[in-house]
Amino acid sequence: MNDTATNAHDVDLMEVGSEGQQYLTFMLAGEEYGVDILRVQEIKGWDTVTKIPNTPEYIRGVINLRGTIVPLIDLRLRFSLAQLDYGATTVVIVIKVLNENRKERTMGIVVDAVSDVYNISNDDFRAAPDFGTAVDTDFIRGLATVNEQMVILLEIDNMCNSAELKIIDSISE
Amino acid sequence: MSIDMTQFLVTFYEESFEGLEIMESELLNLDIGAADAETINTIFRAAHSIKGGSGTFGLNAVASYTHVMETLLDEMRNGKREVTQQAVAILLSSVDVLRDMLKSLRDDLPLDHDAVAASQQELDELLTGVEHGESPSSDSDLHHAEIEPELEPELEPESQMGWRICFTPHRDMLKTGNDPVRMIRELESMADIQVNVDMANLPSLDDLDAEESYLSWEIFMTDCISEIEVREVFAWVEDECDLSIEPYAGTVMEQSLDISVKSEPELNVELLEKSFNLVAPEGEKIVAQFYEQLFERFPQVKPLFANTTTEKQQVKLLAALKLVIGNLRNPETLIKTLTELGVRHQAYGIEAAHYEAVAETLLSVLQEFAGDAWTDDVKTAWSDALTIIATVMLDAYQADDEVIAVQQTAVQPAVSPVQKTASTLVEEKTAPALTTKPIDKKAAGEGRKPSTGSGTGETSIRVSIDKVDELINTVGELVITQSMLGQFGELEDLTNDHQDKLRDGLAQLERNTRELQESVMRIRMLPISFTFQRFPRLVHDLSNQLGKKVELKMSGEQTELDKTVMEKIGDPLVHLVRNSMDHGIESPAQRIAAGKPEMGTVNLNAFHQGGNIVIEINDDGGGLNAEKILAKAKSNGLIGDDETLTEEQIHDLLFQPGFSTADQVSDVSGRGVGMDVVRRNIRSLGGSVEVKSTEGVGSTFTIRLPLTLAILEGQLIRVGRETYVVPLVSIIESVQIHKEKVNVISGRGEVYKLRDDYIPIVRLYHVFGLKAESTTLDKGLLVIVETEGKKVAMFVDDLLGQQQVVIKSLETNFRKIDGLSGATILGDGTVALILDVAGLFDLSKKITTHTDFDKSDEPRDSEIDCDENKLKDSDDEAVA
Amino acid sequence: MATILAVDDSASMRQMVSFTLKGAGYEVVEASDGKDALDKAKGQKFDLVISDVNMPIMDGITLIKELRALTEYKFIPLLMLTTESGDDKKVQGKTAGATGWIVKPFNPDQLLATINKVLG
Repeated sequence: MNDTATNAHDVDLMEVGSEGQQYLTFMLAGEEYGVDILRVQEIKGWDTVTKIPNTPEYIRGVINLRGTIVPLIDLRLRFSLAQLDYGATTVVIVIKVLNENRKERTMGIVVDAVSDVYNISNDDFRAAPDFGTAVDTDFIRGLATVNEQMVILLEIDNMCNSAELKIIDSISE
Repeated sequence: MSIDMTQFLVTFYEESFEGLEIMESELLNLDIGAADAETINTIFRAAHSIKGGSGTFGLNAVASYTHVMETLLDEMRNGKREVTQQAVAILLSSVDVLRDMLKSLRDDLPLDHDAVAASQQELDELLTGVEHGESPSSDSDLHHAEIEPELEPELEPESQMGWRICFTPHRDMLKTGNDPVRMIRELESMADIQVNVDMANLPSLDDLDAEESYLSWEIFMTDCISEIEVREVFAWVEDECDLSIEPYAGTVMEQSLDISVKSEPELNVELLEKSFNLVAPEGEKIVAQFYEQLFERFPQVKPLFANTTTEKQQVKLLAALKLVIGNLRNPETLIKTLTELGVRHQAYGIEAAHYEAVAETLLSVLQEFAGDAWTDDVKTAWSDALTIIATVMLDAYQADDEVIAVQQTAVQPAVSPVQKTASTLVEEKTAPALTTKPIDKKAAGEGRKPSTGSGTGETSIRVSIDKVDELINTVGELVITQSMLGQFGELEDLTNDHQDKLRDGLAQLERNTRELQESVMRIRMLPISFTFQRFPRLVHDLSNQLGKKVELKMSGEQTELDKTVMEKIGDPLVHLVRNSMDHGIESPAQRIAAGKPEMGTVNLNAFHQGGNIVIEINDDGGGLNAEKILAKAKSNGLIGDDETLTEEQIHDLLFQPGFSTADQVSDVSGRGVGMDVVRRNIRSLGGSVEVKSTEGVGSTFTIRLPLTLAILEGQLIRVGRETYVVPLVSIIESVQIHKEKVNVISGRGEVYKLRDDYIPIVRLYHVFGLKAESTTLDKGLLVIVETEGKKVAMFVDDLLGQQQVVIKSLETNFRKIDGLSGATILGDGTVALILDVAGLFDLSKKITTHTDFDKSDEPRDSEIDCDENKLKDSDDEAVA
Repeated sequence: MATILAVDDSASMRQMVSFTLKGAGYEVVEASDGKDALDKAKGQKFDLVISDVNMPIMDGITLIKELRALTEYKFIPLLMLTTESGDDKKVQGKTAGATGWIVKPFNPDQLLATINKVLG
């Protein structure tokens, strides 16, 4: 999926932005979003999930990822975008998320399609304005322009630790 | 040599914690006033070992802390100190402090110095509080040890000075394995010495008992050696010898002893060995030549060989030479041999002059064979050696003449008659064996150094070898099955016969897998005594604190359960035991008034039942007061004013969040944690807890836990398109619904009449907000489950198979979900959720009750409020 | 090389003693109490026995007494491991026939130096 990673443009970016980070980008309702590629564990196709009762709709359920139970979050639903039937390009990006206690969890996010891999230097960041997307600005690390297109870089730890997803680490006293 | 002492720490911590447990339980066993000596000794030994180990392994804080403990216990052990309640209490708390110290050290955490200091002071006060008692000997020892190094320089002489040591071993000193040679050699390693032997007490050979010591020594030492160092050499034999150590001015040589010191020959071992090795191949020729020359040059010796042949003699001489050279580095053996040889020679009538003749001849012959290698140095070496040999052998003669003449030449220490030696002239430095040793051991030591670190935070379990063997056996069978099944993979077609065999093989595989799984599970199983062992202490402390008399009885300590479950059940158990003591058992006065024995009893009992382990906490206290509980629940708004509850339901209120009947928060169990937390924790382990009580007689809390958190016998059920797993242990039966048996109780939902029971119906699709196949109670099935003494009828679409499922946590990557205890992966790779029956029941009560055969086809979309914070901190649940 | 019997109820001390001595080339056999040690000593001749004093089942003093009574151990060096406060133990041990003692805490070098001295 990332054979585009070696295109000329990308090489340029790598040269200028040695300080930068690589982002995996994906499409969601026509917008391009990016997540820190170091957090991406794998990308897999959509498969059946087991629903978890009494959870918000955007939590699609859990899947078996080689023996571990991994919850899936539908990002369209999470960002209150129109729901789309899952198709051939629908993918699950399995990411590693850290909570406040630096405890690592594995989660999957369901997106429309995977797009590209970019090297984005920290200088290319712009803070996220409140530009009226459905996305809570807490979830946004910043905005970057790549190929004259805007990419919304996500802060996945914030996104995946909010509200319902917050881990109740301990149920003990 | 540097040995990494941290490699022993893992073992040290392990055994220290065990020791502390022993100390604790034995301290609790002590009868105040009539303490059993062996019990005190056991406690002492544990403290003693921890102290010894901590000192050795460099944990000095622990060592100095345990020192006082040990001293106290030592005094108790020796009967110097009474075993008082106070002393036991202080020792018990010091066990805690010590445990914390060791834990901190093990986990690399900072020590709680304040706690240690406070406890140390307590111990010190206890120790010194005895006014009439002499200050403990060990204490003064300690100070002594600190002072010693300071004294040392003072003792050291400013100018050259030495010691005159008179050392007379008692007759039986040898019987303690002490050899005067060792001490003299040790002195010699410290400084130049000159030794005089007094043989006045030596009896005649006939009267000589080789096992006794008759000699005494006068040793002059030069160099700046402190008296302490000198005394140190004799420390082991202080009481087995007469020893005087006096300062001695002047050098050894000045005040020469009246011993004729001719030339002080020394053995040049290396040169001797080298030169002998050079000529050794010609050994036979040498000895032949020797006798030829000897008889030629000294014909007068010939008669001495009358009783032997020259051939025999040649063989003997060669052997003797080899023996001497071979044992140059082994002076004791050499001297012993030479002495014996000397005695024999005397019997042959050989005199001193003969030795000279032999020496001269031998030197000449050796020179002949060695050729150019016969340098002056070599000649000197051999000449000296032969002189020494002659001296030793001649000395043996004198011993035979009732005097062992120990000729002192140079620095040679002597000698115990047990070895029948007279003197040794071999210097230690010529025996390199001693100096090469440390090099060897260093290499070996480093080679063995394990690469592991201190092992901080590692958890381990001890597994009996039986369990491991069992595992290995099972794996062995599995391998056989695998190879059997493997054959089928190579076949083109399967005949009927093959298919039968294949089926057999698969059945065998299934059996192997199950056995393997059971074996692995058993490895994780530990007896519950690991958890129970903390309770005697807890009950002891709490009894004192509460002013109650309570006896703890435990049974079923050997009942095994999974290590993980065990670790997590500890706190809830502590809470329940505290609760029983605080709220259950009455004060002695109340008990007497109620006609009960003054001493209350708390029983802790564990046993297996089905696939569960059951733990009961029972007390013979006041029991639950239903009225009081009911009133409290009503005032807390847990139940409506007009509700009527069965006794079980009332008792169950204890576990409701926000319930507390404690009039005042007690020091013991009032910690802002209620029974609801206990229940929640137990449920999180897939277990349940319930209480049965009779007012005035007592209460019993019963905990049921799965044996393991890893595997579950499950019943698969279907609701709509979802598959769930119900733990088989909680299922009583499944029934087809007879519509006429469904009743609706106003405000309490639907119930199903099953025989004499009215069982509340929980519509699973409703509780979970699912689309179900059957939403009216005329299709589908009811699965009757029981938990915590309550029965519930779960309304489901269908029953699927039963199977063992591996429990996976939802919390690893997600969070706890009410009504679910986890998830599992089915044979087709999909995930199925495991129902938490008790949680489900609670959940169903939270959801607005749907009743009737209504039109609730739509799944609810309202979310369940499952906010944990809503649970108020309940103070506690008082009972009596 | 000499064979040494190391007796201590503390596994960590046994480990340390054994490791140190083996590193120096000695053969070492371990025993966890006096009884265990006595059984082992009867089955095999040791050149030196080094024993803790405070042990369950059979203490070090009794062990030394029992060993000394055996012909094979009449003159064998028997060392005790004591503590600096164990003066009375030293006396008892000596009376029982101990050759000497090593005071805890000790380090491997001290241990080896003593053993080397005794075994010459």
